[in-house]
Amino acid sequence: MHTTLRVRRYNPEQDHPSPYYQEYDLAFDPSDSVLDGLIKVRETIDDSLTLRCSCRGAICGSCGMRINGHAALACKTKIISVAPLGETIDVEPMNNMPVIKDLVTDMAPFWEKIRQIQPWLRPAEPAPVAEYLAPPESMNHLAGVMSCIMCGVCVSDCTVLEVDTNFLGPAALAKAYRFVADHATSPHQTVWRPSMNQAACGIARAVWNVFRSAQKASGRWIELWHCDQRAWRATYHPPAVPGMQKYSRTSSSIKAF
Amino acid sequence: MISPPTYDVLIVGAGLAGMRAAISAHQQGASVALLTKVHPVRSHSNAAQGGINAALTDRGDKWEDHAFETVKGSDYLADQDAVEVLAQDAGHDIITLEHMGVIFNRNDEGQLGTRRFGGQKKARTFFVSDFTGQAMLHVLYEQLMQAKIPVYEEWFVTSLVKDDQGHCAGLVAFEMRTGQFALFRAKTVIMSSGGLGRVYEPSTNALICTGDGMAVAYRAGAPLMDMEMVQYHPTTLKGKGLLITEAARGEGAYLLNKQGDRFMKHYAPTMLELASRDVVSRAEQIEINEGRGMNGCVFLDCRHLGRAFLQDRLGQIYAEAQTFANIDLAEELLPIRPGMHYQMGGIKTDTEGRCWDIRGQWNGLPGLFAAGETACVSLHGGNRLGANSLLDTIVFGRRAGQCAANYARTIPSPTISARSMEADQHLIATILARKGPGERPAALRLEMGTTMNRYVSVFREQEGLETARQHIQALKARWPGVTIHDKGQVFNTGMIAVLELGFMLDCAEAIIAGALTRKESRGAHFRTDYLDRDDEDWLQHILLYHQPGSEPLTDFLPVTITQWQPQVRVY
Ligand SMILES: Cc1cc2nc3c(=O)[nH]c(=O)nc-3n(C[C@H](O)[C@H](O)[C@H](O)COP(=O)(O)OP(=O)(O)OC[C@H]3O[C@@H](n4cnc5c(N)ncnc54)[C@H](O)[C@@H]3O)c2cc1C
Ligand code: SF4
Ligand code: FES
Repeated sequence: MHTTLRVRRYNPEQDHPSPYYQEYDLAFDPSDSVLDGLIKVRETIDDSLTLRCSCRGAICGSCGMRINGHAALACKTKIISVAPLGETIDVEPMNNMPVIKDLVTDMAPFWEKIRQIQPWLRPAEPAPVAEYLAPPESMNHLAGVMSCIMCGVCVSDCTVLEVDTNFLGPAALAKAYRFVADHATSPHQTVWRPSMNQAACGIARAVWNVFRSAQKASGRWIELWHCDQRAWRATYHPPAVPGMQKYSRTSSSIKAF
Repeated sequence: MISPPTYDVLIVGAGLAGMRAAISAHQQGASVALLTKVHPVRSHSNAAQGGINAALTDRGDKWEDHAFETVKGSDYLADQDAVEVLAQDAGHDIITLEHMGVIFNRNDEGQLGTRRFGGQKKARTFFVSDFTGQAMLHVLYEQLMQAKIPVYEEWFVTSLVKDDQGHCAGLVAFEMRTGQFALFRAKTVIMSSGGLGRVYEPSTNALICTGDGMAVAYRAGAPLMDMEMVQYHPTTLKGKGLLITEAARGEGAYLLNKQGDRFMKHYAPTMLELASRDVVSRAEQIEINEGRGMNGCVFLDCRHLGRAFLQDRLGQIYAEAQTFANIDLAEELLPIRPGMHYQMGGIKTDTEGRCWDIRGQWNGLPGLFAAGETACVSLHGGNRLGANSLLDTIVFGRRAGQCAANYARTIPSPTISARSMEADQHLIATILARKGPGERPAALRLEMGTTMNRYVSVFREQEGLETARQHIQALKARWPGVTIHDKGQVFNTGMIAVLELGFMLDCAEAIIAGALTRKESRGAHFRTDYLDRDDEDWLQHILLYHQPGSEPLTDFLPVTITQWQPQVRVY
């Protein structure tokens, strides 16, 4: 079978660098992913086509890009599913982050936001000699958020980020939630607050929408809707911030989603 | 020009081994930095699905049992002092990880829960659903952020640099985003650059697993050991070779041939599907070779486990089978076959991660340390037990970090000149200057991979190995003609492919040299022309020293035996 990959290219070393589109005709196998297609191009047609990839199995989070306008992992997207009749496939770098070259984007802003929430466990008391005891369900619950592979796909498609670059974005919020919801330590994990303010200011629905699309794109299930009262309360007292009024509403509407 | 500060401990690779080493060296008060060719959380450690072993005494387990099963798994080639360290430190290191925030699955009492893995009678594998490696990797990265340890992200290391006394004193690397070279001075370097899976085609390993660190250390004079011991995993998907975790069998899945027979009962009557990996892979290959497979595969049967259980405990492979093989595990058989998975061998180290011998019994490279898959302590000997590799990265990453930090305190700052990077800069310039059609690096890589997979795999023999050696030699001769069309400095992945190919060819050569030397069958190294294990002649390690332009120099080291005398190995 045949398809055409129409790739948005950008080479910063050209004299007057500006993005352009280049088409590559490609024979493909029904089992091939878009990543397989791109690698074939890179290895047999044009080695200057630049992208990041590593695991080929939707685990490492390297190959986020826009495929026909929507961000997705290229290794997880079958060519046959986006071009069943051999239609042309548009391949572009992720949105909401600067492009370095071709499909390679600068993820530094993404990681800056992760750092902002100070995502490390700070237990209240010295750790026990053995492990923390925890109900199995609570760990399974956290596993849902911990399975985020930090691919940036949700950030690329985030409509809030398009208008407000300060918004932490779904991945960072999910990371923050992991610490808030931890039974052993959440009451003491105060770093969540700034991000909580953001969620409080009426954008939770947008977050949710992005999660939905991210979940579709990456196949990861981010369980924000499980965000129970306990977790929100744990991080959000006393209610001395101006956004609090709005916050309470948002909190309950999240539960209702 | 970038001129980085001088570090006490400079770490190549930010997978589990590298990050664990960084954290422990930092805790010892050393100045530390990491270099990595991909962002730390993109490291290949994130692919580990199944889990990590430890014998916890308060769970009624004994470290001696874990150690013995590791030694037996290794077909008695592992150094038993190293295995004892691994098994004894395991409990403490797992609990430390849990305290750092790894959300291990729990049992009904709320304690860490276990699952079974191959080659072990007891369930002692701790896990996070089926993304254990990723969960650990992300938590170590959190710790790295907290400690504010600098990471040179997307920097590609090209060689090690020695001072006039032959002490490792730093390295040469370039920033992928700009193509700029820099010389890094360091009192010690820890090599934790992961495995070499891409030397084979197919392989379960990620595209970045190209044996860079092994080749770089080898070229600088550190010996490689046990290189002939390449593990084929029993359950990989046809095509690209993606892995189906051993946890599937640990949780109760069967292996069937095309007649629906659970054939492992003929090969390992007691342990069945959970015998050591070399045993299961050989059994599968025999079934396939003797016509009881289908399209080069046998089958993994998970149907009796039920959909809910599969989704809950094996969610990632449930999804993987769907996406990559179009198979519904709850209702269909999954075709699988043995595939290249892990390199037991690597840069020879002692139990503190040192790549030189303080007693002087073998020659190494003072100042260099190694940990993780790139290193060979030797823990895994002829065959690694599933879930022992993550443990290896954590235990020996920590120990290497500690030892390097302490050692750095005792030595003066390195003196090497900026000219040390000229050779690598020159090489890059030469590659970029090549004109004309030339050969593409990918073409050579494919030839190398298929050659290795054909002649240096589950079954080996003299003639095939000789053929492989000639092929690899020919490829090495063609490497200087490889041409890329991207002549830029910014993120030139074509250039990276050329350099990685060069590293892989050195690794391939070492694997073949080891396999030709070892004239017996042990663990993953099964020779159809020497069917038996021969403890009299071959209870020893093969050390290989790089010789530019010719075959490696071979040396031997006796296996360290402490409490377990070699026995016949049955499962
Ligand atoms: C699919 C799969 C599943 C597995 N499952 C399990 C399991 O369940 N249990 C288990 O115990 N083991 C498992 N293993 C094995 C285990 O995951 C690996 O052996 C282990 O994670 C290796 O860790 P590492 O830290 O040594 O290297 P890696 O995690 O591979 O890290 C290597 C690092 O080195 C860097 N690097 C490499 N070359 C260069 C260079 N030239 N310049 C700069 N940086 C460089 C990379 O960027 C990376 O950061 C599995 C392996 C695979 C392939
Ligand atoms: S939330 Fe999903 S889409 Fe976003 S970074 Fe994590 S895995 Fe990727
Ligand atoms: S290559 Fe790793 S996520 Fe796609």
